[in-house]
Amino acid sequence: MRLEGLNPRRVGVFSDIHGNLQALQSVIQCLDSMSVDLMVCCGDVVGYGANPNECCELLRERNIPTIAGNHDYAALSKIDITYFNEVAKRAINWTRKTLTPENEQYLRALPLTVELSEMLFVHASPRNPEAWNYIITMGDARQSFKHYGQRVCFIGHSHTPFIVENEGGNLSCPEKPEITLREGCRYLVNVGSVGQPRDRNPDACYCVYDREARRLEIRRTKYDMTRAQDTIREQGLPIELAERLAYGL
Amino acid sequence: MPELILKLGDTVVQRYVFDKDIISIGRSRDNDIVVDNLSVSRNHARLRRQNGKYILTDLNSANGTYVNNVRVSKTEIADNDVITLGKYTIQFLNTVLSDEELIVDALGADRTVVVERTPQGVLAVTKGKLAGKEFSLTKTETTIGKAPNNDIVITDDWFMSKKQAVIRALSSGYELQDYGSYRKTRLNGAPLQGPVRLKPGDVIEFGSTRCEFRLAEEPLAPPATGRVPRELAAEDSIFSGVAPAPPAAEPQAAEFEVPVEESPVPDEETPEPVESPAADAALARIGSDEAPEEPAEIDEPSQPMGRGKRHKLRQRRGERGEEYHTVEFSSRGTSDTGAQPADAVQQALAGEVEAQPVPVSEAAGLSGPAEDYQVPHRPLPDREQEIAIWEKALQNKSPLIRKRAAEQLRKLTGREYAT
Repeated sequence: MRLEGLNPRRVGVFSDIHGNLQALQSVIQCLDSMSVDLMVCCGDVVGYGANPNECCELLRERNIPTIAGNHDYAALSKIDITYFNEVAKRAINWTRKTLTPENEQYLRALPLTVELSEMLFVHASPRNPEAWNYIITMGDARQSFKHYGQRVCFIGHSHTPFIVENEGGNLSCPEKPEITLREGCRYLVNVGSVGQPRDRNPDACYCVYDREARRLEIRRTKYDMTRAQDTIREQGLPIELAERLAYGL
Repeated sequence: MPELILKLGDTVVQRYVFDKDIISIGRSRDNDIVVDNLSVSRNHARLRRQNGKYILTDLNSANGTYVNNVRVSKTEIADNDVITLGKYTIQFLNTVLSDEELIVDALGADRTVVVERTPQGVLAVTKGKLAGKEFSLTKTETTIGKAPNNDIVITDDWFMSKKQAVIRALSSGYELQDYGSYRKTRLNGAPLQGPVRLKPGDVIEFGSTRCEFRLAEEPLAPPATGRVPRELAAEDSIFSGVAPAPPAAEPQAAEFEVPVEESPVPDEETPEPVESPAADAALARIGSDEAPEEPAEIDEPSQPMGRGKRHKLRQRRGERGEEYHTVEFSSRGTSDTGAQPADAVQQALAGEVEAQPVPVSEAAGLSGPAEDYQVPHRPLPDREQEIAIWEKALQNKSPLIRKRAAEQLRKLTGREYAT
């Protein structure tokens, strides 16, 4: 889907909320305080966490353009969950039962990609968004660059943030969480995960792209994790899902 | 699967995740955790997994092994215990690893561990009200400014901004960045433009306060912590004689360690590896659900704790301090447009999304401003690194890892590899 008529100066991008309302609220609050003009969510709104409906509603309330992720598809029975592990399967089955018809409809309408001038937003990989492949090595990143023409592509899916810079075929992956875009370079940015980070940092992760200052930043914020964990337990979801939040795994 | 975080003072030197029953710790290169420091004996200690428990044994080391600052010869250790060896500490975390992490970890299979000593950065004030004071840069980000929520608070300086600058600890040094302060932070006399790497001896001026950046020789003293370890029965112990005393301020001078190979501990405790079916299944899954060119959808985690194959799956550099701290966000630049983009977005979405009047954000009761901060992230492995890693994994004891390595190498190079 192409967004027309927008020219945001500062864009907030986040992904993989996985039904963690407290983390989503914290991220939106941070982005509000940074006066972003547009927020985009790169998918996986539901699955794992205990507030899928509330997360959908918050995104709808704020009119945040959102892309479909594999867990959203799974919750809508659009993909087979045979290959999901037991814990993820149980969470998806619970989510299927819990989603309201309105939110189900909302998720069903989500596009696989969103384009806005020099930006492409996709959940897993630009090569074949519906294959849900992970980008976890520089080789994967190199492949991905061949499959989009935009300057910056934002992804999620692996719950691990990174920025890859492509300077005429030379790829580098700076460790720094904040970079200035260079002339003639293209970028692949994994914005990490809001609701279930897996890079051993339990804090919610998101990205801010300042188009005017040409800066990309990956930022973290703490959130009310205890409440998110309590809700998971209260709803009878697998306890591992509550525990892993604390480890950032 | 336990995670061990090797620290020098508050600086994370390296993180390890092992899935094996015996983890050896010492200065000698053949240990699983190599601590390249003279205060650590060649074969210093050993961590052994036994029925899901972890038993730490001191191997008659010169300076002793301490758990939560109590000297031990053999004890069971628990989650979050801190093991002290000479000048180094190892934090023990009993964590669960996801499948996806296992893929990434498999990339690190059998990677040689070379522990690099990361010297501690110090900011010494040479001019100003705080002249003579030294601040250790132990955090991932150390903020400097007038406001009380900075890590280094310098008041009584007219030209100091509330948030003046930040010094970040990267994996290979320190970086200084100005926060858009009133009087720009100066490095060796020149105003800062963007982040700059610091070298020892650099002169930094914040407002009218002058500091020098140095690298400390001596690490900080280990923090006194929590649980008191219980010494296991003497008959269980290879070396009896427990000295339950807190570590001396100065560890026994290691320079006098006799240059004779320490007698290796009899290997009677090393049984033949027993493969765990659960772990095999997990590894098999990693190996089989592979898409043709990109890693497959392996959705989700959870190797049960204390189970799995006994192979070293990962060592990871400590890019991030264990105690990262939050940095209050201050909006940079001016946002003069009051225009709410919601309408435009709505139009752009062309009615695909209907606005909902439910004020979820209010209903859920957000309290106070959310704080955010930044930390460096781990770079993706490149092709050469990946090939090197998998080539090394071809030598792994596990046929499963060898098979996986051969598959990956075939994909990467197009050639066939014998397992």
